Amino acid sequence: MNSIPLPQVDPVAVPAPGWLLRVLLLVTFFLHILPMNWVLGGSILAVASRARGRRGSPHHAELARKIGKSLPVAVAAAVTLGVAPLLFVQTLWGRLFFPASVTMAWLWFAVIPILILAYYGTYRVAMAGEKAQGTGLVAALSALFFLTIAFFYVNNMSAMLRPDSVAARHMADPRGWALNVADPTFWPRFLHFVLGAVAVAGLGVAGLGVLRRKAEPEFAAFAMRHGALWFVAATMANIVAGFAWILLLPREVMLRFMGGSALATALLAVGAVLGLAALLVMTLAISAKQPERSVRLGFLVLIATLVVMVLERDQVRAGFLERMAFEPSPWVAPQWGVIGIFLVLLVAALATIGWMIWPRQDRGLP
Amino acid sequence: MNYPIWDLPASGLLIAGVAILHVFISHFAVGGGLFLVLTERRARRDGDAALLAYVRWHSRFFILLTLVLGAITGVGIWFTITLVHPAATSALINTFVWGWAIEWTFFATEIAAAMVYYYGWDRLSPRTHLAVGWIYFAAAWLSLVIINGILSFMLTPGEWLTTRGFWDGFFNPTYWPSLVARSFAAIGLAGIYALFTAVSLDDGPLKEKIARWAGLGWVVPMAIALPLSLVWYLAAAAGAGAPVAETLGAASARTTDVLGALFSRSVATGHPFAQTALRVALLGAAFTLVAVLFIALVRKRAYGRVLTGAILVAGFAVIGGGEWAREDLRKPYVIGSHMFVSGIRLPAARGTPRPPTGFEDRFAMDALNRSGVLPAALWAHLPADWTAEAGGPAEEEAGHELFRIECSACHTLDGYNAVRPLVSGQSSATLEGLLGRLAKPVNAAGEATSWDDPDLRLETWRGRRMPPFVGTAAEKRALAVYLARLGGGEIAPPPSGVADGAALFEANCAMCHGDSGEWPIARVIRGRDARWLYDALGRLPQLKDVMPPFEGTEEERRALADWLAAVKGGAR
Repeated sequence: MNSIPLPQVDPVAVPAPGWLLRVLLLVTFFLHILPMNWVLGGSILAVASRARGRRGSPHHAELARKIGKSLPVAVAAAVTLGVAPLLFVQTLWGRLFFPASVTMAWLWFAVIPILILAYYGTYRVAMAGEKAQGTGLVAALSALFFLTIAFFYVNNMSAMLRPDSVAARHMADPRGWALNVADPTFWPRFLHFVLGAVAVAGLGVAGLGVLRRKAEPEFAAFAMRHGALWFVAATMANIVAGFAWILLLPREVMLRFMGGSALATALLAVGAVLGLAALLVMTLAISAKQPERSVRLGFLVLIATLVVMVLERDQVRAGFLERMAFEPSPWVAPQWGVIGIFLVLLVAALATIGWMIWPRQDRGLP
Repeated sequence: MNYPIWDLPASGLLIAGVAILHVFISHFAVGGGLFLVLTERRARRDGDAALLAYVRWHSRFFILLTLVLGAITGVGIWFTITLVHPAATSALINTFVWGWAIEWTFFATEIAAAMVYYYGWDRLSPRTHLAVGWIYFAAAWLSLVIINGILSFMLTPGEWLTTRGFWDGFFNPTYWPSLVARSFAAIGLAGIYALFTAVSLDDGPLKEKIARWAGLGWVVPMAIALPLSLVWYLAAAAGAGAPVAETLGAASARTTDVLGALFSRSVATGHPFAQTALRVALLGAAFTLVAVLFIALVRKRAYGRVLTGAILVAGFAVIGGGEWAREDLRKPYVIGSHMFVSGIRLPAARGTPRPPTGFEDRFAMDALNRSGVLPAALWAHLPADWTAEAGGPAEEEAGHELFRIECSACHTLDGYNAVRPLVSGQSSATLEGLLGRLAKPVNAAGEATSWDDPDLRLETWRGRRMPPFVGTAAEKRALAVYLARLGGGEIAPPPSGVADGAALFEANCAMCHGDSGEWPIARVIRGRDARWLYDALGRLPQLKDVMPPFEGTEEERRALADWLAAVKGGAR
């Protein structure tokens, strides 16, 4: 595959070993997808609940209000935690990421104004408070905008793995409007992430029920059951999407998951088992009299599943990189001193944030 | 070249738009944090419930502006530079990824603190709430401390050029003046925004209190301190080799000369955009000073949206003009003495750590001059065999591709920084000659040097801050053919090898002295004979300091003098 126009490596040394960047990428990406899934899936669920609340279901109306109130903070967390993995992706694979971005330049740029609008939309809804009338359209538009951002992200992240088709699209039209939707893996991949977000948000709603079971027992019972239902429905559909994604991968990449790579195969197996376990636990939660324990267990299994899924996604990328014979820069000169300062400051930041958000006795004081 | 080019003419403008908007808000996010926490402390200390209510209300405006528009446009700058300038982004990331990672820890703390502060008015004790406010301000300012290192690096990379060391690039020659200037701007903007939100207060005494507190305490000192810090900044930039005097059309980088050049009518040199930008910034600061004094001392309680809105616009002009001028100072580099705006790199400075063996920088100008830009460009549409027919459509197409690669980052055809009027009526021979003398490497003393000189300066054609043309002779000709077609000029045949006065005039003089040039030659040399002209060609810079020396052979000098005397001078 020598004809693939792969940019030359930079004549400035990479300031960290590849393994460190990759570990940080995976850790921060995992942290990013938690709030990101809540934003995307939660905003979709809230739109559905709002529609049913309007038809006279007070629990649905309350759920939509609660989700709406949480979204500004969730967007802030998703954006903040999303900056780091994008930085590490560019450090590791900028030579793939930059061309893919340029091919869809206007659309990639559009993520920024769309995000600003969606974000302001969440504030509009959250600040409307109890009388959330008139914000239905805003909430629906915000959800649609978040979905659009996901669409563009999946386009770019899947395109960067196909530098051959990126080059073909750029040569055909360099104005920056080309999407990667003709890639056979695109739609199952997009669907897999959107359904995943809905499932995670469903479990989040069930978790909200667990948290509110003392203060609002009726609403809590509703939220646990309703969230579990969303989780189960979305996950069942997602099993189909996930397998479609694997089967539509280029043969060399797919075979890694079928024994070609012990790690990829094991991850797929563990991920499937965990996903099915979560599905089973949450199915039980739908009909259980005391669903809290199922929801708690489901939550733990889901976290484990997400960890494995992040690693699987990394294996998909590894397969594509191997396929195109991607060679990382041979010139690595780690800036250990600066890396050390970063790690110390990271711990300090986590401690400071922890101190600030820790529930404290101050509450209720003027 | 190493990366695909987004077909967006003058794409730098998109970066400028996003960046100026972001800077205007993000500096407020820093200074505004300090304003919130100091004002809250003062209100609590004095038991001033009205002032406390105002801070609380102001904090909502603050959050909505900084957390959404401010934070997301910051990410937006990053998105935009990756699209417009992947090569520079890659170089910056390889140098500063850990700087950004450190900044990210502050950014995360800042965002979390802002949320806790905003939602914590009723939930936290006053003591904790103030502590969170201080954490917010510290984190916001520290993120400026980090980003300032990367931003100032791009103008003056300093020792990094030879050491490639993180700290050498970070604490570069303009780091400290830039940090001080940005901190002052942040404080001043906090006061400006506070006046803006105080307009809607009904409480007269409170409104007056805020006018004095925000106006006299925050804006006025900064409207004086900021221009002074800019003087320091320009001096540091000039000391590090940035072309301050040249860009601003001043005799030197001294403040009096700069101000004289900016506000006198007779300045004909320098970069007009940079001059206008700096003029706008200084006038904006002056207006801000006067208007805020007027509010604080005269209007007191009766200031409204129009006046505070005008001050906000003036503040925007200060920030926007200052950033614009800084960007223009950096031109034609995207990273000073390392990479041109076109993405073409200079050869590594002497003494730079060598890459591993077998690694050759295909996108350094020496390599490109040897083997050509078009063969190296991975993403170019290259017509087959374009060198076969001189002046043919294939050559013109190759020239168009070269224009896209080397010129389109700054020039549009007819819009911003339009190229068509610049080349209008010029022949391909004239343009080819011009392309050959856009920029020369000189040292700090102004003597010719090589491109890998660690103390490199750039001497540009008439101070226009253009990068040198990079590529082979055939490529230079192809670009000239394309530009000549664009401007409706003649396509000259390739040089014959015989010293031909007319061709020499076309290539070396016609850009300025041709019939459509600024100084048509006939007027200048009427009545002069060939002997005088031969003598004058030997001392052009002495005749007029903007003239470059004639660099042809003895035979060419004689041929040109004879031709000028015969055709243009009207006497022998």
